[in-house]
Amino acid sequence: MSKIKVLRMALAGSTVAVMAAPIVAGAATANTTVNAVIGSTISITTSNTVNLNITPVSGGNQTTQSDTVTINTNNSGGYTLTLQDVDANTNLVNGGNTIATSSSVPATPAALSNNTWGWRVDGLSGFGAGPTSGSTDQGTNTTTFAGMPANGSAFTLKTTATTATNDVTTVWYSAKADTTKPNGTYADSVLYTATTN
Amino acid sequence: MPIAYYTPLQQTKLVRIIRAFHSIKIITAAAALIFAGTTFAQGDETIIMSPASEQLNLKAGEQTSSKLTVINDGETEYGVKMSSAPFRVQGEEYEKFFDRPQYGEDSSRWVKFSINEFSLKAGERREVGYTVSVPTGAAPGGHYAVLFAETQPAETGTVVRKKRVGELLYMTVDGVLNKSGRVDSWQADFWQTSAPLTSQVRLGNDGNVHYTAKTEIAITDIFGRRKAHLLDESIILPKTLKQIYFDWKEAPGLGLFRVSGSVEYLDRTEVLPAKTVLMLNATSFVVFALILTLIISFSIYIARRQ
Repeated sequence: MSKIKVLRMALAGSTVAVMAAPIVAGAATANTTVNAVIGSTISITTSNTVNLNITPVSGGNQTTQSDTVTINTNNSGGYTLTLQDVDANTNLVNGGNTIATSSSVPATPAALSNNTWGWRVDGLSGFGAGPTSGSTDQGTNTTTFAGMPANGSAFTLKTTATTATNDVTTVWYSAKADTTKPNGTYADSVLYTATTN
Repeated sequence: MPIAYYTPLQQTKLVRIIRAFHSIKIITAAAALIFAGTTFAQGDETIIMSPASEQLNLKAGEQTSSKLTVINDGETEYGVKMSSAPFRVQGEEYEKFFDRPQYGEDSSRWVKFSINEFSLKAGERREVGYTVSVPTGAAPGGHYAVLFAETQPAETGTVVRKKRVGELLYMTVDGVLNKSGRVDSWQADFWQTSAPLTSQVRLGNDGNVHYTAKTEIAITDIFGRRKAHLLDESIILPKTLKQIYFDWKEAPGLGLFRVSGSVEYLDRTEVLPAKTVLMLNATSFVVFALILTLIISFSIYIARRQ
């Protein structure tokens, strides 16, 4: 008798379980949407210090050094990089003494004359393909340079149309001085600006 | 001198010194291992701005707040100076200038930062809030400004480099908005001599507010097989014309292709009709011309003999 009761209870229980199974199974699912929002960024990096150390001679000596400007952006339209002076004074200044920036422009650059300084980017505007190399105290240097544009007259160094990963622009700076210039540290500040397109 | 010749106190001190020395060696070795794969270029200075652009919907006479993030991802601490400036474009190449507004009033003056100057150590980031206070009488439509974060480095040298990154701000002031755009031209030269295979779309904006245009270009061969799919998303400013170039850099020197596409803007999609492009470089042209000449000459010769 007890065995029959157990069998009946087991049969009833399994019947309930079978009937309830669809209900339980139907309540066990849910959807979740996962979103990943990637923000847009732009970055600019420069490395090393640009020191144009010159030992002047009467005929003039010239020193050239590079600055590596690196841009990263995930903007699909790319970026624009410009260069200008931070203010209206484009001379290298040491107290009351100055080294004037070259009067040449990027479209028609020229070799530096004594007691001037300038910049160039190989392959840009009228600078020619180069390649430019760093040098110290060169008496004769025919590489062409342009004067630093004043603040408000930024010159475009590069414009791209795609994302950029460690995209490098090498900017060369050079100064030439003779013995008429008093010794000391002559300096100027320049401004790189990077914005997305 | 052997350690046995020292007094017990001296021995204890000596052992402590020797143990300290070994500890320093271990720490130094560990540091060397940790930093062995890391390159610290002296003077690396990096500034990051995020987001790089933002679109805001504004109401005249009201304030709207937003924020940006400035990150020092370099190895050098520097000061940061925040500033805003008007933003305009010039020409179909959309050359950017930050000297005066595209038109109308200078909306960069509406922007106030929660903090104007601060310092960032290497690896540090700072969230900078800003509010845009739109004047009551501001004209409805698009207004454009740029928000700059500029490094104030402590470096010395002949040429001191300051860097600034900008967030372009595209603002729409509510009111009577005239949204009007057009596909001004669509061009792909039939005969192109070398890669890339180039096509251009010019988009115009005759309204008083900017719009976003999404352009898709598909390049197929003569059998209909897709060879390239190029995409562009551009913001077109009011009263401007923008030329957008599509370059298929991997185009072969010889081949016949069909270039087609579409532009999606202002709730419509405009189809760019298919154009045929022949990629034929100079060498291939000369070879084909020679072969053609030989065939014609041989045909004439055979005809005369017959």
